[in-house]
Amino acid sequence: MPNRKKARSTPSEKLRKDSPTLSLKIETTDSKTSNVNVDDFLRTAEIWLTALKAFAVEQGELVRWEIVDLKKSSAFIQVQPVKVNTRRPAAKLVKQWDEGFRKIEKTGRPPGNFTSASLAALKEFVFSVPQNTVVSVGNGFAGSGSPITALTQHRVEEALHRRPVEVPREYVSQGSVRGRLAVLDSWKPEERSFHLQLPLVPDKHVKCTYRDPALVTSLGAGFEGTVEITGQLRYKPEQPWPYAADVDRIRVLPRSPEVSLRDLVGLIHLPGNMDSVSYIRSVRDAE
Amino acid sequence: MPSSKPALDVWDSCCLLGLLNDEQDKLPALLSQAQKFENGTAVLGIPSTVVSEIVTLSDGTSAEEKMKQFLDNPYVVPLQATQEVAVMSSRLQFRFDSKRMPELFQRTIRTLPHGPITD
Repeated sequence: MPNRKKARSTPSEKLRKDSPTLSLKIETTDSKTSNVNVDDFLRTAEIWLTALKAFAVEQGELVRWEIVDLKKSSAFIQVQPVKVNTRRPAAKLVKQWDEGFRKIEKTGRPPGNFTSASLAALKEFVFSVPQNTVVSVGNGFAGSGSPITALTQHRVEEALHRRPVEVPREYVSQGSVRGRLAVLDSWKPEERSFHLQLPLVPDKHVKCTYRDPALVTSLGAGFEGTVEITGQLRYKPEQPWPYAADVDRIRVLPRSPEVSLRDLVGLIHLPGNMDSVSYIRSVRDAE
Repeated sequence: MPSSKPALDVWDSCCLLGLLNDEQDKLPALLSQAQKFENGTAVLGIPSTVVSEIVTLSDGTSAEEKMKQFLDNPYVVPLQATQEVAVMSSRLQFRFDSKRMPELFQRTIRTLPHGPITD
């Protein structure tokens, strides 16, 4: 016979039970059926969860979302973020989301902690209300659910437009890059320049400008060969290679290098007859 | 330099040290790339930090000069830690932090095409 004695909840379970949650409810407006289509429910719940996750990431919280309650009769799901490392509920995150969402709904202004990414995910959610349904979001308290309406959608869009798009900026970094000296553009003293062809992006040349007239000698020696330039390298956002450079130094690489790959074999003996993997571990982890 | 884009082979510290240390389990695979580098169909990416880990030759002298001469090969592409690379590295470390995601190691092993490595 099964043991029907009710198990006593542990302190951590009690803490989770008492912590704030977020909820999503879908009701059908179709008079012919009272049941919600399972695809509609799962799709909407997934987009809602994506919006919650986007917000959590922006707050720097590493949480996993746990189901606190799930009711079939009303297509209702209640979730709670739990910190991965401490296993404790992230109550502050729930409060920030709930307050932020309500502020957006009321004013159309984005709260400081809702970035463009969070707002974009929220917009995706509020515009995904399935046909013939009412989708409500709440904070787990009775009567807290508010339906997503056309006004909600308008407010979220308004908030997204008010949040300036964070455009990644170009940056400059001191460094070196090597390539083929392809085109000598200009010898004019006020605008000396040449083009460098990088091996991995041969169709995109780096426009190199320089002021020091002494570099002309290096350019002559290195033409059609490989050179290494050093100076201020200019990068476009999310591009690994520079698109322009203010060159301070040019080093012409030898056309016939003295040491080949094969010449390196056996040049070192690692201490204690270690192999390279053990040696690197010992160096990096001080093992 | 050909106008078509060559393949990029990136060697980490263990590759370069494995070659220098004449490690037979790595040597054939590493040397088989040499031909591709020499005919321009591939370039050898060496992260700058790798160079810093090659310090002393077996005769006790500094490895600096030999490494500099090797790095002068036109097929060598030194890979610099630019701001973009550093930010991406930080982002990936945060995303795949095994301390906060202890299950990550097991999940990675499960995705290996030939199952776990058992050495």
